[in-house]
Amino acid sequence: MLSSRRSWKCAAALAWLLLLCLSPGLAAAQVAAATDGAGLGHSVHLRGPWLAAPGDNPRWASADYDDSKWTVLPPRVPLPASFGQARSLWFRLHLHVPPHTPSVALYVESLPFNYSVYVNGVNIGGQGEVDPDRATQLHPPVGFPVPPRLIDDAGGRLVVALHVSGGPIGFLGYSPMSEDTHLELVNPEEVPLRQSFRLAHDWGESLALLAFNLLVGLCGLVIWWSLREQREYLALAVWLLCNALSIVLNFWAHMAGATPGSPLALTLVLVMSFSSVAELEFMRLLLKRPQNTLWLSLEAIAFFVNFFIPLLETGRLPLHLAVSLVFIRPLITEIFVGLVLLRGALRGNRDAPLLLLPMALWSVSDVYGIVRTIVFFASDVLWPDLPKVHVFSYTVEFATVATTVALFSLILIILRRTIRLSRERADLAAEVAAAEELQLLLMARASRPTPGYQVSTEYRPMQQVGGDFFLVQPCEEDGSLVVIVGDVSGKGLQAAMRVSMILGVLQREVMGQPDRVLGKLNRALLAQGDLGFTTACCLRLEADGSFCFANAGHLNPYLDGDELASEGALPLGMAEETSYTVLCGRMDRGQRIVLLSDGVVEARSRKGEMFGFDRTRDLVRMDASAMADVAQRFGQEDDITVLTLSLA
Amino acid sequence: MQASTKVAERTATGGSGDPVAILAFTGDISSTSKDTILDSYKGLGATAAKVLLDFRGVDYINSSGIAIIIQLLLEANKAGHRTIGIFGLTPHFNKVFTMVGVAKYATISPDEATALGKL
Repeated sequence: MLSSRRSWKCAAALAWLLLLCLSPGLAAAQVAAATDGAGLGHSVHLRGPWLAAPGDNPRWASADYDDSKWTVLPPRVPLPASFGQARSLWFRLHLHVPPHTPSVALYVESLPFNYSVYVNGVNIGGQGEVDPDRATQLHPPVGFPVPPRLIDDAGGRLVVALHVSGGPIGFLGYSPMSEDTHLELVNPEEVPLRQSFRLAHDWGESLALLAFNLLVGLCGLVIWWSLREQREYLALAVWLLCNALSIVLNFWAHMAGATPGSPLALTLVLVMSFSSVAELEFMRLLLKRPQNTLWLSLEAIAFFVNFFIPLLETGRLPLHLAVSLVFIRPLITEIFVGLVLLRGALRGNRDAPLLLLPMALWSVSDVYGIVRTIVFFASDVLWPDLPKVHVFSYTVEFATVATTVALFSLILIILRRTIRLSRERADLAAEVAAAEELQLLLMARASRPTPGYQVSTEYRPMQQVGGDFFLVQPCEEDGSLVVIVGDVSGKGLQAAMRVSMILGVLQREVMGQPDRVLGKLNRALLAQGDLGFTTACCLRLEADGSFCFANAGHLNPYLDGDELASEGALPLGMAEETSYTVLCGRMDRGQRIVLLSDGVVEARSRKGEMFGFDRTRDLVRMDASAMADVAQRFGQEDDITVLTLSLA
Repeated sequence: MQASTKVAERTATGGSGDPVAILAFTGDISSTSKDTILDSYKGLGATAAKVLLDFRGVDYINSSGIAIIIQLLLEANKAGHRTIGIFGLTPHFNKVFTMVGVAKYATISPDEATALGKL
């Protein structure tokens, strides 16, 4: 013998089935069979067929209303053409629920209009403001508890009525009872789980796109931070990060039920506008097109046209005009940019071909959408949608495939550019290494054996190669020694190249009196053109200790710690009529002359304090290597050269 | 990190009673300062016969910056109708300017009053 509990289940199930067969006004409606006293044992899809009528009448919610003349809507069938322009529709469904069912909820999912739900004439809930003039949006899934007394009072016979507004609801043949819309009777305890699942499912595609846009956008931002002159990476970052932000704002607006015209909706439009402009700017910079009136005009249109979207959603614009305005932006972007990409590809731009495929896919999607809409307006004939990709329960739209291809293309572009940049940097490093080797070779040649004299040099470039130079040239004829220490303005490879040229000039010329040496060098630099600022001090020392020197804007030499002051003269390469005053003196055996570059004087500590002339005066009693060490430790900011000279 | 160069223009009266245009520099002077400095100098107009360069607000001048000042002085010297004075240099840059021969093309003074007195 069955337990009383199980007997009740079976009896209820049988009664349910009988009632399904006998109930008037139903065509092929599904009904639920209560399974236990805790409520429905399983959900019941309310697929219909529903009964539908355009217009609005509060009496249509009542259980007693005679809806026998209403239009029967089979499941997943577009609305009749006569409903196409309706902005208010009612749907009714007759069903049976076992009496005394303690708890049941009407679960509504993916209904993209404002609506109110009635059970036997009683409003049990809704979403949005049901008003034909109000804008609509896709609401989050929600469950509306059905008061048990409604079930009990009606003996389990229910009429579910749905009032839907907005639209026009039947635009492009859409039906609220589409395959995406779910209306079910469920156990109220299941509602939170269903909501979570539906949100995760519906927004899974968006979440993936969000992650993709964020990742590639951040990559672009990081690369631009390192290569500020390549502004296409900044444009790319703004474009994709705005896309990511728009997905977040869209989700927020969806959950908050934000209406068009609300601050959140307007913020979303603003972000989309920036995204549109950044996209165009990225394409322009990538293809190295100049910023001209045409591009500025297109970017202005792309920015402002997005602000018509809220007007479209409120339904305040004539439909034809609203749809035309929305289609302007993709037409501009895809047709114009597509042509520019094609031109770039034909002219050898290596990045353009990678973007042609996604642009072509976007164009197909948008152009087909435009043509489909025009055909529907003109003839009420609805062309099929573009193919979709079904992955388990997910449906991936054609446009999403295009977006995914575009993001992969952008990743490829970034990867390829990064590899190319690494190669260029490696090549540059090799060139700098070669320049360093050449400079060391030239410096070595500049230091020849100096019988009768003791010369020590110390050279510490700031970078791998530097702008300081020196030359030590003994004169075999009279046993004198000519030394020159100089400094080319700037640092690095460019300064090193100038140094190579200067040393070449100096080594070709027969060394004479210091002022003539500087004069020759000045004329050589002026003949080369604008080579910047070069200072030099040239000193000639005789075997008997007498010396003469001339200075072209360089630091004065020191004799045993005392500065040999000179008149001051323009640096080399600045003016033709420059004359260099020659000063003479005498040094004894045991004394030492020091020439150095401003890298010693202008060394700067971490606190910003300069080494200065006073400290330099104290320093010049050390040997060359020690002097360079002290200046370097203090805080090297420029190339350091120290040359000491004494009689052997 | 170098601070960008800013130039402020004002006028004063020299020791001779003639008007003197003063260009006051602030920040660091380097190769990036070229347009700012030369545009300010060229903007003085042909009637500014006496010009003072005020370096009190300058923190640092590198070799490229010195080259810009020299270029300005050479242009004035070539034009022949303009007298230029300099004041407000730190002792370090006073010495550097003397080394590079600026004193041949402009007077160098410790303060504005002394500089105006020479014009």
